[in-house]
Amino acid sequence: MRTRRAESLDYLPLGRPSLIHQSESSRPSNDYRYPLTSRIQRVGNTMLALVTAIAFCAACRSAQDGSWPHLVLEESSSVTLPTEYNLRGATLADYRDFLYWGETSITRVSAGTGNTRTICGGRLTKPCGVAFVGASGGIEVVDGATGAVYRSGAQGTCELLYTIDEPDSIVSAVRLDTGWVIASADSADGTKIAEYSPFGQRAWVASGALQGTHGLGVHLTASPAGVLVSSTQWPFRWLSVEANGETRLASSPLSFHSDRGLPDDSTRWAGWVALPVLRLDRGYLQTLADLASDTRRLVLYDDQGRVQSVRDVNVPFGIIGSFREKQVLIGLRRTDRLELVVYRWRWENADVREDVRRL
Amino acid sequence: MNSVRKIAALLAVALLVGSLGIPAQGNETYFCRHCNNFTGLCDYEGPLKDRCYQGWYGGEPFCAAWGGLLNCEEPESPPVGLDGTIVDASAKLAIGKSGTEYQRNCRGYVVARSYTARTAELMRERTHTVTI
Repeated sequence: MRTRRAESLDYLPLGRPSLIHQSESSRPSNDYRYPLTSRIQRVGNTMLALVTAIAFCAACRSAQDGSWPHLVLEESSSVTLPTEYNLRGATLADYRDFLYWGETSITRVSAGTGNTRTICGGRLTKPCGVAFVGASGGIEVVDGATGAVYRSGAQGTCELLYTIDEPDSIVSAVRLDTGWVIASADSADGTKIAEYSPFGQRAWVASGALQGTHGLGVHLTASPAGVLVSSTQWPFRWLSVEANGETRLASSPLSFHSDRGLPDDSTRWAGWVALPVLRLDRGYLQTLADLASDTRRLVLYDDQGRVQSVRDVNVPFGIIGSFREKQVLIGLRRTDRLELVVYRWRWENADVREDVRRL
Repeated sequence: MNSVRKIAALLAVALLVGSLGIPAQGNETYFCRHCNNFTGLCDYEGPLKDRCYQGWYGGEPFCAAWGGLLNCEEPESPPVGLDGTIVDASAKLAIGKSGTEYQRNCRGYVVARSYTARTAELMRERTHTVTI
């Protein structure tokens, strides 16, 4: 029953459960026990509640649909990983080749044939950033334990490019066209973000981001303007940092709750973690995960970082990577097996969706 | 007569110790205990009843309850995977008759999960297309 309720959540997951609950609790268990007038009154009350609920949902939906379309994710392929693999990251070469990494190794797998190949085997201690670079299919790797940046060629070579000067505290890395951006703990209690050129020179540095994180539990992802840096822990703040180190945007998924008078305090969200914020062709997408259940909350932001829509899904999965130019997202789904899933995304406006529903 | 008195005295001491909840020496078993908003792994399964206090003593966290003083440590934050799940590789959870089985840690977080084949298939179908 709980699962059915979770499945029924749609666009307004925080409002609907209470409506469903009211509807069920107001239903008399044995109607024949009540006199006719009482039954008519109960039917009337139920009808009134239903009309109110429908009007409320319609008003909320039209308010949302008027400004922002729905994001539709459609699965296009998947690759099964070892069930207990401790995944640290994944990326996509094209529609058929994945690159994923765990605590000490990187694997390239062809979704078509299932063939796998280990990248820079035996040289890595803690890969924390891996990316395809250039059209030749070369792969660059940042080792978070040593600060070494390697390049792996098509022939399986593994060449040291340069070493980043503060290896001890590297927590995350993402490759932009202009070089690697590295997140590390700074001397205060925040996170330091720095970009390194392809030759290892530091281009810029931004200190003190996401105060209180101590550089821990920080995700980095790429955006056209620079990078998105987000905290895994409450209050799940995230920033858009431009390619010169300046913060352009700051947001949190909890603005959705505070705007509606819903609980956004640390107690309510103590058992939740946030996955990376991902840039789409318009807006941003983020997954929140409840550690105590299978509930995952997908949060869709507009270009200004305002929450436009949320969706609860009762499946342990999350969206962990995006490829904006290909309109592709990478998800990780854990059922009776662990899968990397490729989703293609598209936008659907409210009118189209209502037409589809009538069919 | 003396031996009867000795036995009676020992019994009284044992009852007193038992009622105070003093842990037995060498007890290596740890139990998950909740004391107000404190969650700890305690080295004695003493009673935690209506009066429950928490705090620090000599630099160590403790949880004091009616009838016993427990040495408790807050469990370390579990490593969370990239997909927002905790996976305890040592946990072996059999697939039960119900669709979903969970194993939880001291904080109530799911550390192992198992689904019947039918439930897993439904979950995959549910995430084949997602609209936000």
